[in-house]
Amino acid sequence: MAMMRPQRRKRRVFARRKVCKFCADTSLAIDYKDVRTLKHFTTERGKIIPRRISGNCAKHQRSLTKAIKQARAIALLPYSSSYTM
Amino acid sequence: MRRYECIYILKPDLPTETIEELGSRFREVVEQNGGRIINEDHWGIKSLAYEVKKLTRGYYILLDYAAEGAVATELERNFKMLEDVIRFQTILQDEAVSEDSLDDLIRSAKEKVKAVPAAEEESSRRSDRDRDEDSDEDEDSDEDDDDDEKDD
Repeated sequence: MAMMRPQRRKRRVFARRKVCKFCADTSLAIDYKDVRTLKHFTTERGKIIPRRISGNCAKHQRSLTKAIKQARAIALLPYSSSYTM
Repeated sequence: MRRYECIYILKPDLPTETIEELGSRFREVVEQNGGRIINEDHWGIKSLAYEVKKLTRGYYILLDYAAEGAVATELERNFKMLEDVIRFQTILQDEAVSEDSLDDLIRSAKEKVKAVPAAEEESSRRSDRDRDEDSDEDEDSDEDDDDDEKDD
């Protein structure tokens, strides 16, 4: 299967050497109530952006994920974009 | 004592007296069981991100308190009993909070409430700048197309 797919260098050379936003700016706290910050790390469909795209370090990605899931439980963030409201 | 942060959502079309009544009832539950309220914040009516019990808006209340573990269970039991509370979530903030520090926390919480409007303006300016940086992240839409071929 892997041989049939053409070699796509889409993400490999990408190497976004972005610094983790939270490591760089230590005053930024990860809080599930802070919807504005959390929204930056979700896609339009409400999915959580993976670490290799967002550039977060592992520790902050973990606490970010936890905060996003907590916010979703309280209907501050959507689980998905497919709601007819 | 443990420090908890609790958010509960009430139905949006309740009269103010009912909201006051419920608020004081929950506060009583905490205080009668030996807890202490650190902060109570009414966020007011906000749009929900998804439908909860066929409602699209809700009245959010944040309750910050310190108490023993059993008190949190008791409070949640009260939430479950009432129909007007459509969602609630309790989060443990701190496993061990000393009695003396509580007064300081209460005081600083009150000051923070006054300082929040000013801070919100600043953070909104900062987030606008950040949004410009992330605008080259339209690769996200590519990624979605790859993963979600089966979905809509």
